[in-house]
Amino acid sequence: MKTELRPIASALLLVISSAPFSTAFGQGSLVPPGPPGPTMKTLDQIEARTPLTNSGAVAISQSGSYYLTHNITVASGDAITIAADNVTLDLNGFTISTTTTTPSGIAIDLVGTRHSISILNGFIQGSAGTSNGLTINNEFNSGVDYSNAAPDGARVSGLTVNTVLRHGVYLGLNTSSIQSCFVDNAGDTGLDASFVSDSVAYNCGTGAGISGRTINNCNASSTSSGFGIYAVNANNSAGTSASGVGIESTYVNYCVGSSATGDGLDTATAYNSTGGTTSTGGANGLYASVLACNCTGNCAGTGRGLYAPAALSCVGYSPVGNAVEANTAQNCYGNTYSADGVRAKTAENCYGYTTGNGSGIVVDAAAMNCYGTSAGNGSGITVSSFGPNNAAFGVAQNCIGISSSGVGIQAINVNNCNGTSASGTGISCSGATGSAGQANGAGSIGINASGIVIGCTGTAPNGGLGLSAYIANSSFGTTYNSGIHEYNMP
Amino acid sequence: MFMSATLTGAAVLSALVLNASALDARVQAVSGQGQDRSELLYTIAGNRMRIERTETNQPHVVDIVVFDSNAVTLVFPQNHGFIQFSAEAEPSPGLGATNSSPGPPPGLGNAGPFIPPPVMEKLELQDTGRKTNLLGFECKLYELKQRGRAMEIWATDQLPDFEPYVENQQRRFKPHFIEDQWQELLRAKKLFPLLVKLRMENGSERMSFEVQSITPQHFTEEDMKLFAPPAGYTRLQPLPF
Repeated sequence: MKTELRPIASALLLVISSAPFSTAFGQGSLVPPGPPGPTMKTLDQIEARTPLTNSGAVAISQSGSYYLTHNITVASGDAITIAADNVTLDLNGFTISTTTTTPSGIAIDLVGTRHSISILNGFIQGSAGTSNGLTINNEFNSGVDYSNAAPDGARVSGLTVNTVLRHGVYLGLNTSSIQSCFVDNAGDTGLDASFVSDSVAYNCGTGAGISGRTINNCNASSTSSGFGIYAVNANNSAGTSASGVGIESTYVNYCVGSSATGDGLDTATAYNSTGGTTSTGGANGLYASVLACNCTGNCAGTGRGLYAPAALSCVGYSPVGNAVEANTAQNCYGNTYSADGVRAKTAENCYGYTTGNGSGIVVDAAAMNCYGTSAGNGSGITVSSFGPNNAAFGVAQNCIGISSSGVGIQAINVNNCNGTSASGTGISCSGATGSAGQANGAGSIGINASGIVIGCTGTAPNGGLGLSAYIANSSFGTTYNSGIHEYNMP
Repeated sequence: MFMSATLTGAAVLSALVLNASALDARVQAVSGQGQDRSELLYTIAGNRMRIERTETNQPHVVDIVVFDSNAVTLVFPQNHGFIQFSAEAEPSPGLGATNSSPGPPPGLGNAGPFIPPPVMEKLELQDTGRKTNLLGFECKLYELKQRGRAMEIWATDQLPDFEPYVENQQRRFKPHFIEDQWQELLRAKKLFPLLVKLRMENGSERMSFEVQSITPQHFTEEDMKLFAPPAGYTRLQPLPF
């Protein structure tokens, strides 16, 4: 085998070794012509920027891009005025401050009616001190503000403002936006723009922590009567106020509003949101003038935990006020000490609970598939209403009502319900079908119907009256009232 | 927005034009709701009223009302500022049942779909016909009822118009509740309350308002400074929409 392969291998080696050399020797000199030229563009080629080298007041009167190279400190008045359109001002991480104790100046003042202004990346710093026992602030009137008309196309990003007499950043409601800003200690409003996102404003004053048309991913607080957040749309945000409203916004979604003495959250429509107040007065946890869906309201006084004309899948808590109050309540839970757990015109799939003398569920017209409990002398479920010509029409259907010393269920018509009371009446009604009433107290009545009962059971195991009715059909009572008209009875 | 319209004392005084008043007085009242209690002082001179809380636990907002123009000024001692707006002349949505569709929520404008809120029960002051004399003023007993809650109001027409004390600009989503509406109903009827009690269905008291004293006063020109923001205070822009 070895002797047969040798001539072929020799021939292949000759072909391979001779072919490349014929082209490699045609490339010329291997010495490079020179060093490679620069390919990077300068900053001026990308964006011509003008350095602001002052450490005192600056006036910008021409369009362009500017950046600070020093901190700026002024003794009084404005620090930077912008009197031109199409201006970008990069604070470049530097700080603007004032030494005045009469805060009338604005750190960055948008003079006239400005368009297309961007302010970026820096600090506006005030300070609080004392002199002869008096609090003296070295602060601006406002951090960023306009002195004539709200700007169009203004944007502020990455700015921190600390201690100003009134506004942190105030751009008004033309097409303006604020992103990623932080304000601490502004006497009026912390941040204001048509769109505010990813920002924080703490310890603000009588206006709002943050106000704007749309507010996303923000957190704000007022330490006085101002709003925490004041908006048309608020999403994924939290607002707190000392004596004002935590969040007041036409629409809220995934928000939390809280207040010490005011309403936690006031809105037209709330989804997936929570309102709470620690007020021991009449403030409400969550107030929605139209709709609350998947919301929670919590209060600490006589106010309502949650109020909405339409309350869907909501939870309310109030110690002295109604926990959930609505026109229509569906899938709601209300818990209270001494008022009504759920108070509505109609309630469906609701659970109301009270530990005091209120009622678990009180509705004007109809309760369906509800569960109400009262640990006091209120009723588990009460349905009471009067229509035209005083015709009563309140209905409880598929409900369970339990009361300690009140009535388990009281309604004009009771269908497929179960009412129990420890010392009061199990079911009190005009007519009942398919229902069971139990009264555990001595002398109490299981079912007390002024009209007709059909297919019902009334029990009074401790010596009370099982079933009291004018007409009973296919029903059972442990005992019956005298004069009852019985049909198909055991 | 920062507005530079700083008022001077002289300008304020020159702007004050007093009408002849039925009674210039200081009225002290106590308002309570739950465990909260507010001491209120109404200073009435001509067509102007100043309302303030007299507790000194923190700086409280001062309300100044000019009846002729329905102008309301809220003075904020915290930041030496004030805002001005017109008191609502028309009743709030819950004040009377109405067949006309309410507008969209404030701030929404005409954009977007809108489900109108349901109309609440009509609230009306019912004159019970009962009368009494409180602090020297003839009072009538009025009643308001809503969902089992009942409010009794002893009120007189011998004092100037009544104004509610507010701590901030008017709320956009006005509550429909009886405890939030009674003051506007009294104002509409030009009645001043001297004793108010709100009770729940089970009889428990939820809210009260009681005038404790009414002291007639003669106000000097110096006193009239009370009815304008202090000199050096700056006018602030109310929150929008």
